[in-house]
Amino acid sequence: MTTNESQLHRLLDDAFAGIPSTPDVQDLKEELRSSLIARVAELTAQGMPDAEAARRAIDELGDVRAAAQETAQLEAATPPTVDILALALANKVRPKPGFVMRTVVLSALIAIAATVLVLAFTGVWELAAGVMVSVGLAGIALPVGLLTADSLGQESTSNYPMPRKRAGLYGLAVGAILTGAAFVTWFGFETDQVWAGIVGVVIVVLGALLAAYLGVTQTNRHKPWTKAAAASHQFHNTWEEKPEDAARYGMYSGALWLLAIGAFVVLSLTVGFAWSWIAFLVAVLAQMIMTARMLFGRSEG
Amino acid sequence: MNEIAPDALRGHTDAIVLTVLLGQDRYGYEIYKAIGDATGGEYEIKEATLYATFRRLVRDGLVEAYWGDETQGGRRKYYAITDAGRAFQAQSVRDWRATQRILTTLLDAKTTSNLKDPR
Repeated sequence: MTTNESQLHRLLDDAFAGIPSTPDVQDLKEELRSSLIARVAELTAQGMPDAEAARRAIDELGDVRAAAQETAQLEAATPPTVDILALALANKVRPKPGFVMRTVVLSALIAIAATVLVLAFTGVWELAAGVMVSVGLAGIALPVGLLTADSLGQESTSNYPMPRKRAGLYGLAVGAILTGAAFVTWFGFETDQVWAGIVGVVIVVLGALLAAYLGVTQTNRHKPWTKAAAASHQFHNTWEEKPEDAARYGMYSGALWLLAIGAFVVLSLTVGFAWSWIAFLVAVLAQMIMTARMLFGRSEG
Repeated sequence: MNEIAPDALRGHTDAIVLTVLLGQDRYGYEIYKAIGDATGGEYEIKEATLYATFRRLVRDGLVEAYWGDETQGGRRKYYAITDAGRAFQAQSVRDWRATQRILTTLLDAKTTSNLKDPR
């Protein structure tokens, strides 16, 4: 360690003298230290003597003491009790008319396509496989993808709009997974269409990879007021308060969906596709009941 | 340097920092330098002020902070803009453009001083 650095540490300690050494204050100090080291290196490279460079760098920072005190106070302050309803009302954002229109039109399209597909699957309405796949792509995969992108790009009362490109990629991922699912279903009905099965699986995997990437890189998009509301302890977060319950919930969910997938496969091979989807319906219902029990179940620990 | 400028600019520190972070994650001193360089040294935010700003931005969820993995010298604390930060920045730019347009009109002697009394 060179002389100018030890000089620096001493000046920094002086500036922080008497301020409670909380984690946030320590954090600020470390951050300032790294900045000072960089600045001193720059100044001495210009030919300034070490001691002078250290003092100059500290002076350039501005009022370090005030910043440290502010940080200490920010941390010590108990979060104010806020009226969440009033906050939500003050920040209320109404959906844009254009967005509502698009949602209604796309939802209607999805409902029509779903009805057609259910009629076709149950044999009420005989349709060629190619037609059914087209209905699935144009009537379900495309509009659901568009809806996803559109709604993520909207500002809401608690969320900022997602950047256009990212919202579009989420829509693409959802659309791709549904598109792949359509091809896989086609292969399920006409097992000689091997290419459809392969193409379907590839598209599903690509869509799932894209969705996973987006999920991992997702950053906060909640508005600041929701943070204030969360900090005021009016929300009880069962997931964090009872880790054992949360872990149990995760394991039950995993078991439930493995069971559902197994039941779906078995039913598809025995009873047929007309009824095997009920396995997923039952799983969704069971999941909702489990979630409700997890969130609103026994109040005592 | 113009004496009025710092006061008018101070209210926009949050938006300025967010704009610096749009392209890539940066650490404190880098942000400080970027602001100074962008104006050719004409406007410099005091670094201590800047660090207080970072803490507020983190608290509001507009940026996220993480320590870098430098092995020698001081470790650097990096700041990354979040989707909320991007939205806030875009809104700030829109607000500023509106303010700028109105002020340009009002401070234009040709339009404002020639208004006739409507009565």
